[in-house]
Amino acid sequence: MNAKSPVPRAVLHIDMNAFYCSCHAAAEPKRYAGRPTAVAGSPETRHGVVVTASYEARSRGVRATMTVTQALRTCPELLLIAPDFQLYRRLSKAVFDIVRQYTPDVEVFSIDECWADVTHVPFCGSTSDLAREIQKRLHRELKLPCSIGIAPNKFLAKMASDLHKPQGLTEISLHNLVEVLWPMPVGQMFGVGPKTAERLVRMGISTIGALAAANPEHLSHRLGKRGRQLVELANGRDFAEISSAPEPLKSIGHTITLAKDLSHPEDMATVLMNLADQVGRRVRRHRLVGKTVQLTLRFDSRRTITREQTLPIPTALTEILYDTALSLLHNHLPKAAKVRLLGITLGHLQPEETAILEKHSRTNGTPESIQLSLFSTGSVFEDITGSSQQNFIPSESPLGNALPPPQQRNLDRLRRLSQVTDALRDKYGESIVLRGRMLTQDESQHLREHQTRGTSLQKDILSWPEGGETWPKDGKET
Amino acid sequence: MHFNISQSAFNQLLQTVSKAVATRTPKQVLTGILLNVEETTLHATAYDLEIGIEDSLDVTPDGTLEIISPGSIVIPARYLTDVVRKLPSTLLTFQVSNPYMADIRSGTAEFHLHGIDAAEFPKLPIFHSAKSLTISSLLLRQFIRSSAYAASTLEARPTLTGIHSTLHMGQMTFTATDGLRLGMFSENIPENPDFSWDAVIPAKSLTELTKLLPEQDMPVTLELSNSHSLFVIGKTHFYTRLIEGAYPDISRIIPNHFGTTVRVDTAQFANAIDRAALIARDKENHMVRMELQDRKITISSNSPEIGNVSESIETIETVGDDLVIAFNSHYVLEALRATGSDQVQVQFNGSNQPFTLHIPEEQNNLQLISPVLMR
Repeated sequence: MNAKSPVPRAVLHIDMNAFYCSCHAAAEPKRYAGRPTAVAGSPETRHGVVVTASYEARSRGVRATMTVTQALRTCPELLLIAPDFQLYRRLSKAVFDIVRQYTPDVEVFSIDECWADVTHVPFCGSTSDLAREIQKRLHRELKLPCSIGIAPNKFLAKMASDLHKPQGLTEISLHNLVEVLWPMPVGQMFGVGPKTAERLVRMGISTIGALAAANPEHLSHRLGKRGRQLVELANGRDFAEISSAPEPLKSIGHTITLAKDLSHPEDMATVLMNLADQVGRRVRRHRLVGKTVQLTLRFDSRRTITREQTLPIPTALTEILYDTALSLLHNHLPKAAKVRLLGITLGHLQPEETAILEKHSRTNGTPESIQLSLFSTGSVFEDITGSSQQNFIPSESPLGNALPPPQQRNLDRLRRLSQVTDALRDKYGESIVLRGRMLTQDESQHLREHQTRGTSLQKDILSWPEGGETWPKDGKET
Repeated sequence: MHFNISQSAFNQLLQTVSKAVATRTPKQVLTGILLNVEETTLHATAYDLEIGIEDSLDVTPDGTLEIISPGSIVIPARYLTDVVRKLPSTLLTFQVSNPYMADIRSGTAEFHLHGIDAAEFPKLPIFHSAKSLTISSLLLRQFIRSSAYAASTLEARPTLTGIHSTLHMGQMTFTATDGLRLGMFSENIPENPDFSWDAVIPAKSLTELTKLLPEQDMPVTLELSNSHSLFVIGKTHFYTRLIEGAYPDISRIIPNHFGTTVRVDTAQFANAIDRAALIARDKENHMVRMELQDRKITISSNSPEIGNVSESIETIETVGDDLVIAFNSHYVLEALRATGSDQVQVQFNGSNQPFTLHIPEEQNNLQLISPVLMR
């Protein structure tokens, strides 16, 4: 790729300003426009941190990640807004649709950021005129402010959009790079996290300019391959393409911070069931299967651990997610521990079809052996209840390295059951069919209320397959 | 709190209880050993809330233990056991002079170890009018050895990590299974108590218990409450939590008639399987193939990458049909070890049904294994 002669490109980075707050201001201008607002979780459920603060709020000292209490102390007139992800999703899509009217080469980076390659856009005027037009249209048609960076590549465009906020329009070229970019501290460089920044500063590299001048060999020795890339970037050299196809998903997971610490494994199991249910739903929706199940635990001391188990067969079945997470919990939960946050992530995702192919090619080799179970007569019903103590499906079988035919059949039946329940829930709402344990009164039930849950957003909703841009309606709404 | 004790007696006491010291716990007090000195007795206790061990030593005229003043303290086990182990084998002095600070002196060596208030140490379970019976330590060891190995190690099905211990009409039975193999041992209890019990005891706990059982025979008293069981071996008290929940009904999975019965020399059979297991791969369930033709058993195993092995032995007796079966070699070796007799009777029902191993002419012990299906 580096061998390619750098054709001068024109890349825009469009970064929506205080996006969540701006969305609310656009939706209800009378209530929120021009006011200090902050989107924050509810303190009662301990999600009480500011996710985004409007510029009016920022000028009064409110910052993201502040707790609601801190924020209100800093700015008593602050208007708090509960997150509404359906609103953000709708407006986000509208933003990208406008940008796509100019060029098909749009790379969505997050819900409120994208790159657009406008090198070949037929437009009479300079690139900055084009950027200004996009900025104006977004403001006029959607009432949403944004900052746009203009540069010959993605990295510089991203750096540029960061320079003037809100409503900035900044151009970085290979000519003004030295004055604009190089005096900035390395910590502000895109791609340099706090850890790397700390290491660079310890090596005597405190500005982007110093990084540009650093010996790439020396740096790659200390930071690995990344070191060489960083020097290239600091010199404004970035040949990464704008890819309009979304990155394949690597993992899908959910976590929940609990309103009250849990100490009883039985209560944790209920939470895990709800988490496994939603992770399974999302993974199946993408027609993916995953090979590793990761359990995240945060204790009352805020110490956080993750524990992982690899499955013999990639799966998207809630039952297996739940069973695996539960066994991880049993194995790694310290005695008398109090748990503040629980999470399940399914990783090493791959498309369903390739997983099936892989399985077939494997059986072409040596004959596989199958360990039979003593209890092989378990009905599919016992399979589904999963946690039942009298369950005759041995603990290994859903996870074990080989599945006896009866359990293989059960897996197929579970798969078909998931298809049916997924279809029902798509049509009639998440709560139309539930497992018994999910009826237990528990705050993790709210995971199923997609509009209001949590304070963070799943990126995968930006790229739903088959154009399904909205989640099925929640039971509440119907 | 002040006492003098011989290093070896103290070391022994601490080693006995140290098996119940918690290792992974946020509660620091559980990583300690509680020392409690009464007028004439020194008690040492460790309790990780799963198992608890309490052992004690009485004052004797020979001066092994001399108590000067009573009291109690919890000392981190890691340091206490190491310190005592490395002190010379003479008398040592243990004294708590400042609050929560233990002084251990031996010769000119002088340790000061920080301790924890004994009041913080959890109380061991109490057995009010619990069911109790006494059995021989050798018999108890056999009960555990014949079953514990087959218990599941995965916590996903908690009951299967336990040993199902029942007493019914004077017959005691221990059963454990992980769903793929099963170990069972029963015996009439000489004492023949008129009550029955049914409990699931963690297999891990009972395996720990066997380490405390003496080599020579001595009576062990078992007590059972709704939540815990207690084993008293001399002065040592071993407590373990019980596993809640009903144990699966295994009666319907134990076959009662067989198509093939062979009797083999245990060592010959085990050695052949052990050798074949060298070639068996773990991702193929350590699969070993066994072919029976009249009185000839051929044990073989092959792996495309490694090579293959084959070996024949003669049965002592064969009744029934010839057959070909494959099984997890580790499971069979463990079952043979649990059987622990010179000869073993193996009974089959074709190549895809569970098969049993037991001591010939004895019905009290049974190992059941589900085969591996060849494809």
